[in-house]
Amino acid sequence: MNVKLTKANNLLLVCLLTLAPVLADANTLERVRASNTFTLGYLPDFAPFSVQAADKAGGYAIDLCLKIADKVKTKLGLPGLQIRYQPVTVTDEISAVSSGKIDILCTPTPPTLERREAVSYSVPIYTAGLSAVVRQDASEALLNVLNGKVAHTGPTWRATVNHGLSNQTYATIVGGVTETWIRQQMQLLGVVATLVTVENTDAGLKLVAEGKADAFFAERMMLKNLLSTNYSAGDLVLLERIFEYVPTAMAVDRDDENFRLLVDTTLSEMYRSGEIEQAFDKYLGGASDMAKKLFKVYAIP
Amino acid sequence: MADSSKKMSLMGLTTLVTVNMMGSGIIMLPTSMAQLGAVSLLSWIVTAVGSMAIAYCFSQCGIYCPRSGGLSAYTEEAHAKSGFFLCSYLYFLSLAIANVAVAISAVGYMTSFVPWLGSGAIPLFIGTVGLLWLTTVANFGGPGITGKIGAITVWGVIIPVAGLSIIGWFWFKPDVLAAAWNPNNLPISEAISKAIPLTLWAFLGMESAAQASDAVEDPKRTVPLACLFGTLGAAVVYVLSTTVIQGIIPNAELANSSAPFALVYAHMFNPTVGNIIMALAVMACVGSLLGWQFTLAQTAKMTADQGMFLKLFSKVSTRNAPIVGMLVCGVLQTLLALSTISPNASAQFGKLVSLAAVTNLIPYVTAATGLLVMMYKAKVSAGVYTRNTVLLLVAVAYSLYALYACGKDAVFGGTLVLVFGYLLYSFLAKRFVDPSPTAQTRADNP
Repeated sequence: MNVKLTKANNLLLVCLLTLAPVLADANTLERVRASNTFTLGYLPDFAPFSVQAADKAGGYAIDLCLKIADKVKTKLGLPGLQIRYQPVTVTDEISAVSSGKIDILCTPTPPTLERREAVSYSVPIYTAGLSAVVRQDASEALLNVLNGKVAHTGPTWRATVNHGLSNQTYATIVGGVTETWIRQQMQLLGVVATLVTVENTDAGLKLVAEGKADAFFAERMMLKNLLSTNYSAGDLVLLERIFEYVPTAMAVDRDDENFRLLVDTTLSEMYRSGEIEQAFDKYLGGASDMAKKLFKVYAIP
Repeated sequence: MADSSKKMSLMGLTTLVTVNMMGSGIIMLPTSMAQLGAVSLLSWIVTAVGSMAIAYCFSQCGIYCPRSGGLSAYTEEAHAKSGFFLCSYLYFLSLAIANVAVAISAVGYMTSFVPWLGSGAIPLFIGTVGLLWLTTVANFGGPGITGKIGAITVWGVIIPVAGLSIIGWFWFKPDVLAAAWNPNNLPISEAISKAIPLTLWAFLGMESAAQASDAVEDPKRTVPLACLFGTLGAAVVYVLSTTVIQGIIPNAELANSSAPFALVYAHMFNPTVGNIIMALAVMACVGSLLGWQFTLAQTAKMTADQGMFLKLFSKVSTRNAPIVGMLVCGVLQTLLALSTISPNASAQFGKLVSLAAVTNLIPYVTAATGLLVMMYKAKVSAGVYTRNTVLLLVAVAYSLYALYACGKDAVFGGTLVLVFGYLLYSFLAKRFVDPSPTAQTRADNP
């Protein structure tokens, strides 16, 4: 008796679960067709990937999204499809996709397992690299450590100032690189480091410029972009080294393989036709040799 | 009797040696050891044994060669007059540079009490020069006064460091030490080879007993004993304090601390006690600078007494203090301290500090090897000869390894400085030419 009842309950649960997404927001393409609008979500302060431009948006990721919108137009046969630009914030960017508030998150994010529980992802559109910005007059010890070398070489004796250990303050964006990562990377290289967190790239650079932090860790392309616009005087320097790589992609609805296929098809075609390379030239200062190799890896055959 | 009150006692000299050795190095040592883990404690076995061998050789030299001149006099036994000069020259350079560096460190540690000192290059320069001159002037009272001041500042080491070695055990948890054993999971052999450089040079300074032979009571007995006891004392305190601290503070916290002794006392008692400990450590650091400024002036004086440095270094006051020489050293160091003003110059100064370790180590080899000649002259028994020779070989092997480990940049600079010393000596060498019998009447004047 008991067993039977549980089985029936389970069956009911399965039915409900299967229905749930359908009930929630049907599917993306149906929603677009019904409303005749395709909603692009983006972070408005994520140059050069997505930036606010009057009531629209621009940038590398927005260009790619517009290509996807073209594809949607043809696929659905809706030449008069409206494009709506919907700015989102770091905190609600993922829920905006899963709730159907936006059809696609153009601003690239790393597809983490945690995010994958709420949304699905396109093929990667950009390989993010973690790098750091230091002041022009940064100490040799700091530069050594950031370049993966031991801070102090030579004998450590009573006259070695500070016993060769340099005391540094590192800054990073909240939820970005963790303190543990920095410790692991740098403990054996002879530094004592304090980590402070900031809200965004701008605030981090400001800390370094004011001398309140010695190095700021963030995505290299964003650092480069912000340095050239806000700190052109050259008193801040971007390291050549990239500590970690992570592919980033556009978030789409988790249960909509049809739409995801459309997005991946568009992006793969762009990879093969060279359009992505053109977009790199336009927004990201050209594609490196490694980036070009990755284009081939990312494009689905 | 009146004379001996102006001189330093065995206790005073032993204290001076221990404080000189630990100086500012001990303040950050637990942090750098914790970065590698408690496995680094094993390196003490190698470095303490090697250093004790050197100290033993120096104390034997002190017994067989009681004349004035310290390391340089020991060197002359085997390597003649040019050896005397080169030893003094290299050692003098080493101290002149190192003392400026110790002053910079001390000012760095003072910034937690006087934040102004850390607010820029000029305050750092002013603080460094201020400390250098303070410790120079404090030596004007003669060796007796220096010993007495040293007897006060030594508490800055005894209370935080030696005290921790004793009372720290009440807070010691073996599991904290076990967890800190090898946090980076390095193979043991690699961990030890990475750890040896942390403690390899920690005993530089044990020779300061020999350098003070002119300024102590009964040097034939005091110098050898102070050298041995001072080094042994430092070894015990080093090993105990760096062990106990890793069993009190969890590794991750200790490895990222910029004031480990203050941290451990704050953990055991409260943050106020931590601050007091930091203040004491700074006091000890200044005390060690006082001792080093004394040793610097003594080295110059003994060399000038032999006619190898400018005569002005050997002029002493009624209280047996070579004041004029101290003033000259102070001016020289003020010039060196100018390097703190620009980041570029301080990078260059950092290279000089590494070079100074090399020019400190070369005299170890030249002085210790003098022991063979001394034993021959003293006609020691075969047993003593064999025992001393074995320990001498250990001491020289250790010194050579320490030189090698300084790295090619430091050894390169040190070698250039050494070779330049030969040029300098060539101008002095004529003073020591044995007058030929025919020319004896003309060669009377110095």
